[in-house]
Amino acid sequence: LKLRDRISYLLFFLLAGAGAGLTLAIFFFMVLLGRPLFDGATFDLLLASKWLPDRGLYGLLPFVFSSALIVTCSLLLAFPLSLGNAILIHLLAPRFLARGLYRLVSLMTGIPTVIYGFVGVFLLVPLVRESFSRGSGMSVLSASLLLALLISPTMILLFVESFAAVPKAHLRALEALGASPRQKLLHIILPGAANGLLAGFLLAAGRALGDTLIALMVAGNTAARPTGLLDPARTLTAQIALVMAADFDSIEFKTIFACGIILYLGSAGLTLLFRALVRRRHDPSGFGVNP
Amino acid sequence: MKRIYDVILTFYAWFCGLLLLGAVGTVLGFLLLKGIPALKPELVLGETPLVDALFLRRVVIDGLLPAMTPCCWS
Repeated sequence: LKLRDRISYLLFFLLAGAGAGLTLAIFFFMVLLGRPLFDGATFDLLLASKWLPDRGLYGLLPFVFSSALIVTCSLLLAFPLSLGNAILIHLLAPRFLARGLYRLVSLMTGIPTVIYGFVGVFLLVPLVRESFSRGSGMSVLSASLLLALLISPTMILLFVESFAAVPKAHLRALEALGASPRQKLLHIILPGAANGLLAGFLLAAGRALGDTLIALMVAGNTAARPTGLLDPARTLTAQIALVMAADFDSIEFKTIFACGIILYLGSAGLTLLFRALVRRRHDPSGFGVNP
Repeated sequence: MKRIYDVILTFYAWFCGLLLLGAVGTVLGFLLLKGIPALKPELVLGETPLVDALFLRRVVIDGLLPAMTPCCWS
């Protein structure tokens, strides 16, 4: 290698190392500051099933459950919606309409979360309250619907890009055999773009897990485990925001680091799951298309 | 039978497209409906007259400007 190449290699290596180092530093920072929580007796308090700081119960399980429930519901709503839109943009819509819809979806990624949040408070929450005649309307369902709308653009853009990465030659060959759009989708596009679909799904899951404002504004923030979709709930991110706004030095405050660690590990787990699935996945098309 | 599956796929994709358009349209429509009547100079400058604010004769304390300036810097 030439000297210039070696310097470039070293520079990029250092920059990549700094990026990875910063991410790890955040994790160690949270572990360090939350360390008093991890001795035996206090750690047991975190595993309690209730959050009642006045009685010395600091159970985070209701928040973990609420986060998991809201993320799962929003993904169940957003995935079919996003897949349908990606199919429409890539395969079925006339060119001008597909381009317009793609631009609209790109624009949607720039809408701040707080806009969805307050439109949800004034429009969706009353609608849910009046439709089901139960509770205040601030519920798992309201938060899931809004989160589904928030994460859909991420999924749609990644789905469309992974559809576009499928080799055109295979599509033309199928067209020459007289295949319908459905046959192209089922036999060529979906198998070839499976890694991209998975990437979009997990990226959106990470975004839904990490979102704070929608859950804070619309989910109701009750510190108890929800028993149904119309119950209010408090997610881990909302718990961090609420405790930080009200306290700064107590066990209650230190639990936000435990919440942070759970969120960090959840996101890291999703990424590792994605890599493991991609590695194991048999690519029936033989294209080896990567996201 | 294959034809029916094609129709179902087309219907599903268009339904999803319309659903997304409807949802985004509702969000943006609500914002415009509630926001446009409030779009006046007072919204940004409060009680401060426009000319005084432009020529830095008076400090803008009310309105959105004090909140907008840090956004521009960041």
